[in-house]
Amino acid sequence: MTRLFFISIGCVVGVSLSCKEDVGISVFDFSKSVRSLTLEAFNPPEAVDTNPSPTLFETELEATQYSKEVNGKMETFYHYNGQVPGPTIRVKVGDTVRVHLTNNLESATTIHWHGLKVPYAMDGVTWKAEPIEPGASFLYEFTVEQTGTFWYHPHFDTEKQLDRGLYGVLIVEEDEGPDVPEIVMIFDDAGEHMNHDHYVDRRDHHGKVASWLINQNETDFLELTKGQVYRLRILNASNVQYLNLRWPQMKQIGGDQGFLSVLRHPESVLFGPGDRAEFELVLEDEPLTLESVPYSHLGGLTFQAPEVILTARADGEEAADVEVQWPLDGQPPSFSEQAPDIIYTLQGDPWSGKWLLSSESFPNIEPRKLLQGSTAILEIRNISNAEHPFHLHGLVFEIISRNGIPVTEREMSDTINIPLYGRARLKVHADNPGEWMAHCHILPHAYGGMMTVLVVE
Amino acid sequence: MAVRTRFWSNHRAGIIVLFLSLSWACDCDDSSDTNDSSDTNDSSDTNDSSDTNDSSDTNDSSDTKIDIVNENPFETGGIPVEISAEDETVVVPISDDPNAPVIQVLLDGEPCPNVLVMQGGKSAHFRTNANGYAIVPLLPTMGSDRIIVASHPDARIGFVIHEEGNPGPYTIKLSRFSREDNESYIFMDPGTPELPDYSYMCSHCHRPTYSEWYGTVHQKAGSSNQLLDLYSGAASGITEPTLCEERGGVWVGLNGVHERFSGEKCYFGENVLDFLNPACSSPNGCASTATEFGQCSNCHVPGMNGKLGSRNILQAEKRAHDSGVFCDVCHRVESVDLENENPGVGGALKLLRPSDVIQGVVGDSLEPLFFGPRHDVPTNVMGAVQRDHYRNGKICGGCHEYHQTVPEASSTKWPGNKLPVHSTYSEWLAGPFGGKVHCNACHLPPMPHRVNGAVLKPNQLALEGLATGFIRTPGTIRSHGLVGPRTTTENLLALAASMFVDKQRIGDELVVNVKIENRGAGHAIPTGEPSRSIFYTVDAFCGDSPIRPKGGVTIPGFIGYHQMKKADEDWTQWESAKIGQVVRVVRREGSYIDYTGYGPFGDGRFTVAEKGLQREVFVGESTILSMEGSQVTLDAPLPAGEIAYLGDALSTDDTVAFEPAGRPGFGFARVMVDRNGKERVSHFRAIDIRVDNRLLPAQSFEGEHRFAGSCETPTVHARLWYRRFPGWLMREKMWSISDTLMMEVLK
Repeated sequence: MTRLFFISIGCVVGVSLSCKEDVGISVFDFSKSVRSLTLEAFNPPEAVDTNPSPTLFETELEATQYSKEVNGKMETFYHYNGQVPGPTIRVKVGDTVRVHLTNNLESATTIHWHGLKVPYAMDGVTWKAEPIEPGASFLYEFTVEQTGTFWYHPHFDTEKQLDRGLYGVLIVEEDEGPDVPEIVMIFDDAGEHMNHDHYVDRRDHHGKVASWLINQNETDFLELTKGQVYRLRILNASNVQYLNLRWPQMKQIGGDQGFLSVLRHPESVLFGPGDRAEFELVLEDEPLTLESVPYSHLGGLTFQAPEVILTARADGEEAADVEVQWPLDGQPPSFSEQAPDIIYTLQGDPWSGKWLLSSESFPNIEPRKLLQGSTAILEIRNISNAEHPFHLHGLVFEIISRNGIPVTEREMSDTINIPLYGRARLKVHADNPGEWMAHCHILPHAYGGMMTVLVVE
Repeated sequence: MAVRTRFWSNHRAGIIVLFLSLSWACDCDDSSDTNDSSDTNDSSDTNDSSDTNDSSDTNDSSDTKIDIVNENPFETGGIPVEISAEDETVVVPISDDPNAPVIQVLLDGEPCPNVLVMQGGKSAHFRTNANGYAIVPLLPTMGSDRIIVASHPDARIGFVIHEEGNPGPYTIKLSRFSREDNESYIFMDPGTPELPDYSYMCSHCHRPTYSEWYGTVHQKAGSSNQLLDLYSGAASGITEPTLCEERGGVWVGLNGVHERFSGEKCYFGENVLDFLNPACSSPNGCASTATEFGQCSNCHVPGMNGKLGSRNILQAEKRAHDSGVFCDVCHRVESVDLENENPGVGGALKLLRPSDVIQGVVGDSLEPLFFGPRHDVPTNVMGAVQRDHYRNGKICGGCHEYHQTVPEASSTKWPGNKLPVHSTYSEWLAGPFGGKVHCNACHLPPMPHRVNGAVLKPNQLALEGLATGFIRTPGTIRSHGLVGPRTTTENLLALAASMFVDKQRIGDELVVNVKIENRGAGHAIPTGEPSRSIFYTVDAFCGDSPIRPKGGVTIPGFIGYHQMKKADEDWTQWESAKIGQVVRVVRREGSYIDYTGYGPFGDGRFTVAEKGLQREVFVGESTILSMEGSQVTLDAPLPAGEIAYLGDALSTDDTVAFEPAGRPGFGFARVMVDRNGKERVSHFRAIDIRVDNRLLPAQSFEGEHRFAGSCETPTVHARLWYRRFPGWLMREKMWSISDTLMMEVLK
């Protein structure tokens, strides 16, 4: 007994044993293949622009489903154009985007363009609209005015459809951005949902240890060119899990809404579900390891040891030593003593799986309203037993303060993590009319009731 | 989503996920040796493979069908993991999967159906079949043993340690514990900050939990100055005999058990013992002669050894006094009866102090028996038994719901003569959180950095006997810091209420609308002790100069004033006034403010007049410039009105009970009144509730305030305050407790 006990402590303090449990993966799972991928093979394939116009990006997405065996039972999974993640849509700022979605699922679906200020009718929500029925098609069309890393996913039956494969990245490039190769990493947690019952039971995701996949690959090594400056775009597409990522000498250049105002050198970066960030990555002499520092949405760092997710290593090539000037504008954060116009309080209970937003449970809500053209302060409070990545559709906000303390760097966003007993003030310019969903992006929380509507009219 | 799961597909046993509410009814024979645990709950038995792997015993039931279910985890105290199924039933005891062993559970020697079995530290639960069998698929652990537990409500949790490669059958022997509360039991010491964690203390193995708890209001429940002053009649803030006599008190000693009551103190004013024992009329609060003690001890010092409930708090031994609501009280609650009219351990909380005796090498001792939220606490040191009331908030209701029987209360108004003096639990139950978001969800946050409720460090001796502790899933362990309005780190007061301010100039007036909303708390704001109140103040400025209020609703008198005079009294005479204080005049319009409050204040039983909230509007105010005796000189003549309140100017430097009645603003409280009609008395002497306009969950209040708008861009400063005790009481006892600023808006 004593011997076994000491082994368990070894897991806690970082002895190199796999410490996963409760995700259905054997602790001593040596069968995982050791794979190495080139950047071309690593990045998700990109969508094809079928329109010759230089300012119009037109493509087709087909949502289809397939079955595969899980735990001896056939389960339904989904993909766009036969791939998971879906095709990366790459456009330039100012472009018009046209996406022809064909729904070949057996259930209705939509596409939500996460982080983009699209017209309300294009937002993919069904608060007051019908989803796209099986066999039907829909044309999404909008002009992109923001730059950065965004993503798309269904906003109908979202827990299941997103979780089981329907998501992809949408990149809006700057007019004259740095011309460097890009790495796209979409993180997802393997084994979040193994049973359909979990889409009606919102209490069963807590404390589980994430088992991260990048771009759905079980990749151990990514081959990169030594000395080459890469632009690394990261998305956490998980339904539930927080990704706390670190590697040596991190250089963060972008967040949810494109470039930061100043370069950051964080020790680690926390991605709640739906969060994006961009980094400069340069491989020097030594391989570079990306580690996940286990973080629970039940309140922070766990007792578990960091885990190596991916190692970037040299592919034998060497690039000329080039320094990239990222267009970081150095703009200071706004300062506002303006009182909150709207206060949203996040409430809920991991044990019961019941989630509320300002004591309301979606769809039994009373939407708050903002006048179009006004600038408002939202205060988001968390009084529940879990952290929540609060996401606002259709609008972009600037983070003004956290827990009453003004931020020191300007940060524009559409998704902000609110820790336990935390609060944040957000400045939002209500310039996009619509009935915008506002919700926790931990999808079981959102669909457990933690969702509301902010009307701009 | 790629699927990497392999484990479950290996199981031969079929399992189905069914969220059923199964009763705990057990058909096992209630044999005469129920209380004989000498051979049934010995952990050495469960580790003895010669006993537990007796296949000859289990092969007899090879044709028995078994339902394996994963029931509602909330009811059973856990979270399920996904389980796929081939069949709903399987034949036992055959299992050729070493990772899904067969378990048989015996209760008092008989096969017991419907017993919850599970792998310790995991989530999935299963139930034994009619013959006491179940198959428990085992997940990997983080290197430690795989332990299978069996949990029955009438028995201490039993367990076996899985031997790798052995598909069973294993036998887990349970025995019923005695249902007799042992009045001679001595409550365990939770620990002491000044001493090492000796093995007889809870902190020996649970130091982090102890550290979270120590310093909380629950730990201080029996020792706070406010409690003891109200109970005994002491005024702990008065430390000089001269001052005591000046204020009308008596400086005497008191003979209590605890050293706390040995010294001399100042006694006067209202107190529990005096009220309950009118015949004694002793200056020291009848401390030595009282025979009636009320229900206070039931929740404030529940850990007094011996008889439970209705004890004299002043007779509490050191441990009970110092520790208040502590480990060995809370985790000894076998059941909760919220219909019982007596709160706490005197009725609602049914404690079961152990009486089963076990023989050891150094003699007989009591077999441990503790109750808690989990089914998987497989350690004989604890003798754990699972109870749902640790999860669903009922245990909190044992003390945070108290409807006090008051013979003098109107039975028409208060059926059964019961005044709801504490109603936090029923406020929660009736609101949007009720039955959904439980007390723990706000007040006991998870601690994902914690491995186990016990300290699992190999260099601590406590672990020598804690071999069956295991690493739990991150977030399983919850803080026992009992986050509340006075835990400053979490700052619940800043999260509970919302305040919105709107201003507009209309003619020569500045009209300010203030909205207060309870969109944060699952119960009323304020809740708990009726001594608590919240109120907001509104001020307007042109630049740095205050703007004179002109009208609008004001802070009600029940929030606090130094003196109140009606229109027919002399408003130039204020006996207790001080220079700088303010006389505020309000007009009563004869109408009442309607609201939806707790109980009869919101369910239609009371008329708006019976809800007692008279509308008072601001007329004017003047500041006292000088005094001659009780004659005051004011900075401006007072206007006509119905009521004049003597109060304080708001100073941000000293917010100890500044009295704001009559000021622009509003207030919310449960206003208890005594037989003399005095408002905001302590609940033990209340005979009625005049007003209860506390903000229930999801409710709001909107108040309009008018100022003389004399500039283009006036500013408004609104502040929302939380006050623990009425000002008059704090002055009487000389308590120095500042109001807490919950939220402020500058607009």
